[in-house]
Amino acid sequence: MNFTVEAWDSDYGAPTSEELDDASQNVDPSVEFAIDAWRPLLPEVDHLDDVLFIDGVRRVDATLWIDQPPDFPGFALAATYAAGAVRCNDKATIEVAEVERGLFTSAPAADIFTGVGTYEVKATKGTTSEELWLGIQQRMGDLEAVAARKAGTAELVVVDGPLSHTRDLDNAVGYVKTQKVQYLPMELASVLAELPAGYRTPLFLTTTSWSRFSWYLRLANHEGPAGGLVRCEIDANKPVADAARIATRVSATLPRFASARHKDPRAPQNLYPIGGLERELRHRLGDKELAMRALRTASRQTPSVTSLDLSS
Amino acid sequence: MEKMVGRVLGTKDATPLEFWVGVAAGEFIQLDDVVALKRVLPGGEVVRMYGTVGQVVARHEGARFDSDVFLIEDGILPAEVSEAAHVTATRFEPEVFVPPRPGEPVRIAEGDERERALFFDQMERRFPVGAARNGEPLWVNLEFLNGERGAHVNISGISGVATKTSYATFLLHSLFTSGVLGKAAVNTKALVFNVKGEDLLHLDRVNSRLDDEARVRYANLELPSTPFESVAGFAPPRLDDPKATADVASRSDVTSFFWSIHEFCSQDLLPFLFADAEDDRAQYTTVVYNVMAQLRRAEPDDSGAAVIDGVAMRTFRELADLITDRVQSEDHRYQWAGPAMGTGTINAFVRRLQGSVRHLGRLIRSDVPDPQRHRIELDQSQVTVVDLHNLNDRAKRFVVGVTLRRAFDEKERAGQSEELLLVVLDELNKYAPREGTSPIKEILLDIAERGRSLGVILIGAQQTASEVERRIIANSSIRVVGRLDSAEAAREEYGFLPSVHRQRATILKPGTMILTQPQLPVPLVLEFPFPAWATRASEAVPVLSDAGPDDPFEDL
Repeated sequence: MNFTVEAWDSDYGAPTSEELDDASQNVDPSVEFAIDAWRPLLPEVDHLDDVLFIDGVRRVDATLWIDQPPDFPGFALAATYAAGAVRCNDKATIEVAEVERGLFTSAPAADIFTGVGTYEVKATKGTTSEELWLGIQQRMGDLEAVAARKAGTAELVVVDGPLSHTRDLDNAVGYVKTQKVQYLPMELASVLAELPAGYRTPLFLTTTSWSRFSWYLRLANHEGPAGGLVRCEIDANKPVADAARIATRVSATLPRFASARHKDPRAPQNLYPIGGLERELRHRLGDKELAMRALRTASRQTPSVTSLDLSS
Repeated sequence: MEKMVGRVLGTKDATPLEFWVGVAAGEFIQLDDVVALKRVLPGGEVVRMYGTVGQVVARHEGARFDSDVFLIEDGILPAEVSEAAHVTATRFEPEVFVPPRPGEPVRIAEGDERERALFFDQMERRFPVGAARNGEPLWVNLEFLNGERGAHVNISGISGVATKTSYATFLLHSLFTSGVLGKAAVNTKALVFNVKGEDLLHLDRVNSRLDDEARVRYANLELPSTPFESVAGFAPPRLDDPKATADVASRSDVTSFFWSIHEFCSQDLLPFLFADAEDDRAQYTTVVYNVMAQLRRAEPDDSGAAVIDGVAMRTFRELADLITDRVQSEDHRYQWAGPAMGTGTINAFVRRLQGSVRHLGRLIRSDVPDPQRHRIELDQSQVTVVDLHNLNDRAKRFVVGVTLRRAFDEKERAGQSEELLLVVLDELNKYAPREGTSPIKEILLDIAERGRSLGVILIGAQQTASEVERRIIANSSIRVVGRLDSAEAAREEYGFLPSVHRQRATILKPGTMILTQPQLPVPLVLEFPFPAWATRASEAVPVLSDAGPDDPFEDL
């Protein structure tokens, strides 16, 4: 029996799913090269010197039940999330770090004032926990966009995750670490599987909710089916030739930031600046135990919030 | 508003004894900085805290691996440099021993605050012992030197780079010229033993290498940059010189010293000849004390010679031969050597006695006229330098032992503890070694333990405190350390130094010392100015009369 060990720490899952959702019907892989001309491309240009990395982190501090008599109490999540920007030129500097706290629920609620800060009400679409989580994810995305705007311009703005919230930023590139969707038709799968380290694939155009050019890049050789593989995306409102030039420049720039296996549980996809920023942002979220305690204290002072107190 | 240089850290324990301070951006804190901060108690009472910086650390925050430093410098991994200073608390006002609160602003203490931080404001009678790195004077409380609350100084350090003797003379200079002794300064004397070259025989001469910068440093300490005013030099006579001229090459006005044969006999000086560590263990000690008792019978004649059994002895050789004859002859042995002494023991005594003749013949004699002139008299001048450097070890011990005994006895008789006698003695390990007993060690212990009340102050020095009798070090209120060997610095004798200071002691440069005194809970790192007096013959500015014009009135 032959097997390989996935490079990512198992706590983070794997950078690819065992079964990918097929999205290839919305994809045009022949924008840069005809399908039969697809081949790995080596980006033989200089890397960019002024790069901004944008990322966010989130944490649920507590699950709350909001009294709404005579109905069953409403489900809510008190969450803290943060977004920030690292600029890497001669040195890597955290330029922006924004922290917000929110009370995610669809029940009628009011802001909660606690010793660690105010949890402002953020309305969500539904009451299920998935919907609340989605709400947190969206607000964090918004905050990432705020952080990116505050950080100003750069030759390249790498946004961790899809570009959905920040596609109007100049020079923005979405950086996707995990591959859950299969965009390429089956006949191109071998090009992807055999992509050498440092090479990128040709561009392909995706037209779902919005149009973007994407390409795959192998940051470094690592074990596993998606070892060292990332997908980048940029807005499609530009000529293909310009997009290809950008893709080449970005592909020449990013491998420099790829992390070493012993330093990051999601190496090499989790880039050093993003890893450093995440650590700093998690630190800025504050202590979870302290937030929990502050919420408990607030619940005793605010009659509308209880922790599973059904007697009233 | 004072400038804040940092804040108390909350990531490390802050205690009333020690705490860490994060250094603010754009500021720096260095070793030995004196800092001040305060804390407001719940009742509104303000507690002022002071401390000194013993260690400063800088590190990357946000880095987890050693190799992260390269990523950080290449601009790939974001990280911040953080600096933190470790502060040892010196003083609380009022004495409410609460820890400083994390986040409290910390500032550098200057002026009055610095005085309070280092207890200088509580020292009514103080004298400068050196300067901090910023040039401000550091003080020692006289009460811990003159015997009121403590006495004695002990200096340790490698020879050559630790500048122990220079520092000892600097302390003398400061005591004599700072005015701290008041009227008693006039009658305060120093007895300095010179062990290396003819170095200390030039204390009264201007140092030719003294520059303006050093003069400014003296001025900062409010001390004159002048040599010692009143110095008398004593040196042993030349070997085999019938006129007993002093054995000194670099100056001519040094008096030679020796003891008359009668003094040797009547003042019980014989045991000081047998002061080696090996002498202590040997059987013949009993013989020494029996012979000593017999010698007391000696009668003086006009020249200081001793007359025993009708025979006058003018040289040490004659005396040694007489003693040899007496302890070996059947008729006198019982009386002179003591009952039931074996021949082996007596012969061992004779061997050593005869062996010392060659070295001590020039120091114990009555063949020179006017012997009173060759006595070491301490009241002639403020500083008396006794040169030992070209004596062998047995003779050195004899001179130190006898001189100290006489000085101590005179002080005891006078009973004047106000007017101090400061004894500077290097190579303490030779005179008061940790192991064994000897007459000299007993004198030194006497000075260490009783000298305090009599005004006899020992400024002792040695390369390694671990080789010196514990009680002498323990009785020294003021301990000074120059450059130490790293193995030596790790010994328990330096337990009074915090570990950082021990480490620093191994890299101290000449002219820098670490000093502890009872009133301060932390050691002071100090620099003392270059000696204004010559510390060797080559530094001495030539005396004018030596090189003056032949006839100044020639042109008239």
